[in-house]
Amino acid sequence: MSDRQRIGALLLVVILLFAGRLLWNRLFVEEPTIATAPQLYTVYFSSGNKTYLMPEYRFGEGTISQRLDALVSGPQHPNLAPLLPQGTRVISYEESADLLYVNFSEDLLLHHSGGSIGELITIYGIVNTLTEIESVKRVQILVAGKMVSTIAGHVDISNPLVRDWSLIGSQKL
Amino acid sequence: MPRTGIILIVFLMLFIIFTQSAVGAINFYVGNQLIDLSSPLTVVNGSILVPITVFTQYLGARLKVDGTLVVLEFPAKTISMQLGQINVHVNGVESVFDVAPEWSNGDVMVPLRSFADQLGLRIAFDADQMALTLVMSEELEQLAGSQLTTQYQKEPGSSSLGPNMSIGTLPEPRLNDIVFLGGARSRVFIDVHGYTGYQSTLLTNPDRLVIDLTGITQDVTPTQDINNTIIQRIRSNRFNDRTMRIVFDLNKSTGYEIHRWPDGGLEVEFNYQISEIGYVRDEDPKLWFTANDQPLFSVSHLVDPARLVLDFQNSTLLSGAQEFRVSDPRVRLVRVSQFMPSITRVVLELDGVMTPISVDEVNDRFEILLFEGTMEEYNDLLTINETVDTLLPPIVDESTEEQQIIRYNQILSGRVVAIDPGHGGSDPGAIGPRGTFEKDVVLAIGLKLGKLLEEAGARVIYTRRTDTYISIYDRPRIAEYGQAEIFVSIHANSFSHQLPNGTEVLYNPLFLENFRLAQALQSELVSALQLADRGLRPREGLAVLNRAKMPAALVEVAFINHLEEELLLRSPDFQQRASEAIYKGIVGYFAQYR
Ligand SMILES: [Zn+2]
Repeated sequence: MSDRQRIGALLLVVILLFAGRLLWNRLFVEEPTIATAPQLYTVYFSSGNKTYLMPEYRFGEGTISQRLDALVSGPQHPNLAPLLPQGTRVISYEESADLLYVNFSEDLLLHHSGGSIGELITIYGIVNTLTEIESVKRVQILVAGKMVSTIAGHVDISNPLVRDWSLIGSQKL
Repeated sequence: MPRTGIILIVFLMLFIIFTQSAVGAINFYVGNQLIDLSSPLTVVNGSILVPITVFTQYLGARLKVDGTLVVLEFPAKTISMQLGQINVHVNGVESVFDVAPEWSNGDVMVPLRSFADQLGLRIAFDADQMALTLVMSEELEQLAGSQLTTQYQKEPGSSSLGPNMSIGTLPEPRLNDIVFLGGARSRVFIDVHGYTGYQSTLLTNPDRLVIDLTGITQDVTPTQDINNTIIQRIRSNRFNDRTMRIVFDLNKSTGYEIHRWPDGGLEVEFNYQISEIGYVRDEDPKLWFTANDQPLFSVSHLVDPARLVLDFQNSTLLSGAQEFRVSDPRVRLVRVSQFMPSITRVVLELDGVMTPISVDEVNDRFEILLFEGTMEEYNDLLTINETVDTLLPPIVDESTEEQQIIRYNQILSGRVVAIDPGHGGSDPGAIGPRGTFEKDVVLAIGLKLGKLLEEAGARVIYTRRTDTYISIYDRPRIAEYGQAEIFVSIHANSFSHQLPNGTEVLYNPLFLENFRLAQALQSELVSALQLADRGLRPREGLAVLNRAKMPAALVEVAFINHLEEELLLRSPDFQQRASEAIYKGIVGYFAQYR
């Protein structure tokens, strides 16, 4: 065995151990706590020309306000597109047990470009981004301080929503 | 060389994607116990998955996990499963589940239906209450009894709130007003600003309905005298310092429904009041009743002995249960009773078969025309009469098309279809790059579709026929009031980018019939329009589909923000083709499944 092969084999073992460990954690260990900074958190955006959500990773603690800021300011990657209609602001948010209320400005409703898929992407981009936070299981979207039935005429948002995996694109992975 | 392989493995391990969707706002019960699930119910390929803790905590099972092997031991049954595999062993014998158990967010999720089958339990779903119940056998109930009482504890203070709600630190809800809206069902709107939990009960001596509103701390409202056929007066009092009690003094105890409105209000609706039911036979046999308005009724036929059963929905029988004989040898006995708090049941014991055909209001009473025979025989009779007319001027060389029309008439005659053109009025829906409004093109398609259906003998319920705003909650109710058998919502899609295009049909995957309807529509649309096939899309969160009480689907014909498809959607020719495709899909659905 040459040195090259030996290093190669060693690398293989190390990587397999590492990958196995990750899989193990993913399957059987609750959220591994990472103490060292910097941390990464996930924000979901529209995948641009495809009708699903794509994750974008950001450095930081991933507090609620950081994630909401990221949603409002839009993606950094050129191929991704913003979820929120132009001008949409977050007026306030409030946590109540595992439920997070997020109060958006009326732009969310007035300037949405519509379509059931467009509406689903906006809503579940918000919900999936915020339910990445361990303590947030459900998200209640409010508009100008009020519960509304819908933002574009299809999706019922009068009740809190839970995470939806089906809209997250896997094609690129 | 091996490096690509390694990288592939690492990637595979890093990205294990679970495709699943969570079922929102469903209360899950084991027996009569409401269960606080450790993870939300999810649906995979149409099967509901529940956390395995349901069986360990509430049904006395013991759980062993070894790697990906999951073993659940019930007193009389051991089920061993591999995560991700549908092949399982039950007491050592191979069996197959609907979908594979899977690991998700810290829970093992298992298919509810397969487990219920294995354990000999029944699953019941109540769409009104959004309650999914695992109905216990007595044996299991005893085994699990001790655990049931100790394991399940509600969060303190959460009792009067829905499962998805908590008052938290939101602003205090306010009661603005109690508005008597009237109508046959004496609708009353309790105008509450902000969310409030409530509990409602019918009390007797005197008969009254009380609704306790949690978190309303303000002063009581003035008493309103109503004095109609149902309500005497509406008053309120302070039940305790957190709870306001609203009291409806009733003439007689009656069933009711409460609908929650998204901005916090509650709408109370009382049952239809049926005062008298009888049977006459002049030319045709008729069942008649007197009531403050016409309730919906469902029909079933029973055999041995032959019976026709009519269940009047949301209705109270004022006269009380009774049975009587009539002067028609084909009807042996008529029985009338309050079958359930909100259902009045009429049973006709027959010699032979009778089928209700239509309802007419004649001289202050409603008459249900009965046909002596089955619905199929009635439809055959109709189409024979109709085809004589349509065939009178014989059309040369078009016999196949003509035959097809006759066949469609047979299938659709007497059917009731709700057409829901999306948006309208102040809501334009999506707007195309050339300024085309979704509300306009979907109305055009809806009206063309309605014409086709009506020509084939179907009755069409339109949620709107003009450019008006109808709320997403009212749309399914309009269909329900019109006794529609299916609900088809018509939309044009839109996305923030102009590239996506094509046709899709969305449906609520909780019920198989929705899938069947959606599939029939999508296949016809794809072959007729020849646009990109975006497929069938299971979706739980769409308001009109969630609330429709009949098989329902939402058609997204094409993308209005796509440059070419916008032009198509505007063209009357394309609109006609789209409506014909939906029409054929509806025919196909009825022909195959109903
Ligand atoms: Zn629409």
